[in-house]
Amino acid sequence: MRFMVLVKADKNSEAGVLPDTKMLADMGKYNEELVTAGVMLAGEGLQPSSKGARVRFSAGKKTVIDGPFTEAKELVAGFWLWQVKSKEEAIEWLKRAPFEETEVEIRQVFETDDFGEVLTPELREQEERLRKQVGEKK
Amino acid sequence: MAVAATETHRTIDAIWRIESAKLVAGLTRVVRDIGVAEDLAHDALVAALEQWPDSGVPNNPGAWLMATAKHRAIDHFRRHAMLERKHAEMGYELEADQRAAVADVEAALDDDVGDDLLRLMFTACHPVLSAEARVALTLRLLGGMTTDEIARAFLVSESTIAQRIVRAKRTLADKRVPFEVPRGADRVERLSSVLEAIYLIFNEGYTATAGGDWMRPALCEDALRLGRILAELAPTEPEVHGLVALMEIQASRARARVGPSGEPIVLLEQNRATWDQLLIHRGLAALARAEKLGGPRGPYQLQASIAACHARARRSEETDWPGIVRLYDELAERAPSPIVDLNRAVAVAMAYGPAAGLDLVDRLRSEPSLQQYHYLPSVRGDLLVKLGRLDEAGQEFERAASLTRNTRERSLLLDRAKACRTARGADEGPRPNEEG
Repeated sequence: MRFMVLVKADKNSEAGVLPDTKMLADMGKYNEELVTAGVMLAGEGLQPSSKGARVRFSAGKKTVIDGPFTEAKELVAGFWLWQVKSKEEAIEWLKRAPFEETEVEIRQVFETDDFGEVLTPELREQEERLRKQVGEKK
Repeated sequence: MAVAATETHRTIDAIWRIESAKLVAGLTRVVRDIGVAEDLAHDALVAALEQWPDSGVPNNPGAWLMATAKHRAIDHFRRHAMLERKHAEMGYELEADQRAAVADVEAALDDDVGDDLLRLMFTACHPVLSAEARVALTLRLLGGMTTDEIARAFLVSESTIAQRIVRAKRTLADKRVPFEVPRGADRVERLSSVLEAIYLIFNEGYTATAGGDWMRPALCEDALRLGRILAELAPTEPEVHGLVALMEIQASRARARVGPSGEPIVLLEQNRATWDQLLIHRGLAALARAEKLGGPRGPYQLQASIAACHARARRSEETDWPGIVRLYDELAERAPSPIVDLNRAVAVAMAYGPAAGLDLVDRLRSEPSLQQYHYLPSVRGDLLVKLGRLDEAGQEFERAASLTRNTRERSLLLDRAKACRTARGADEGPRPNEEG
């Protein structure tokens, strides 16, 4: 399963202040760990919202609002996309991140190829049966 | 309290998945026996299960597990009265680790862990083991999967997998397989043995050979993860990136190749808009990594290049079939196999017409290794349909259906056989050749 990890903005990230050398080095090491563990699929840091914009849809009308946006805590400053086995694994990986003062959110990605519903009880039973048969043969 | 304990257990499961391979790898370097190393790592896990629900999960759980396992290793050496020298070595390592623990144990272990993991992968996939033993051992030791999880994934009983793993570990010990990364001439063969095991896992997930599901995506993910790990452990091996590229690109089509009721959808009929662009991007990047390393293109890189031809075509009509035929030519030269010839025949049919393809397929009909392979009659049926020879096509689809063990695929093939008969019936009727 995949999780998106959302790192929230703060005053510094919104002011365009870049992380210091130590933070960059720690983050680099952490990212390397994620890659060597085969967990990280993608990850990016985002520029301050002053360089972004919003498009508001209302009754079919589209209004463009230029950044910056004020509510820093609700803004995203960066994200990762991880492939893990469970939410707990994603949490464990996140606990190892070199943050000091922030809150990071984990959200599970919808899997269109999640066959949970396709696997009807009847098929489940069939699979169980097959498993037993194959097991008995060996 | 009970809820908290369950939560802790789930956390421990997750930590185990992250740490177990490193633990077993590090311990094997010390005790030189995968079986003993796994037992020690397991002892550490049991200790965590006993202690953490009360004490809480330590700040650095990986280091905790490693330190605990090393204590058990020392006990093990004492119990078995190993050589004094070995004993001293262990004592030294533990002492060194405890010193490092003050600063950061994990950083101290990090240095060697990559090499240990690579050694573990080479050992678990040693050619003295059968392919199925390699697969089971790799999932167990490097994928951190339980015996039950592996059994479930392969639709065999838990005891079958347990026995397979026990025997494999015994074989490795009996044959005194060294815990090392092979160098020189040996390396190519050993590496291909590792790649084969990973690709077998992927394929079992991608085209389940048995059971009611056409795919078991979790196995694909496990294989991809192993491949991605290997790509970082052995970054200078083009074939590793070739395999990763192949798996990423194939996996990118996972959701497109299953219909709403679980039936398979063949490549050319897939809705390409649902292909996973992130995985395609990762696959093409892995392929570029392989190409950048240079040298002759190996079988995985060539197969990945073929997969990339499809991935790059926004619509199936845009597929570069003559290009794919050329890649199959190269593949047939590098890794000759009747299956490659069969796939090449399909590409030839697409590039130069069904008659040219059928000609090649017919030459393969006497090939002994393809006698039980359902894809041969299924391909032949396909080409016969295109040539309007529906009677023969129907028979081929029926034959293919009788050969596959996958129930989803079987019903698809039987449907096609039926469609041939129906169309044939319509042809013989009073109003032939009516467009439908």
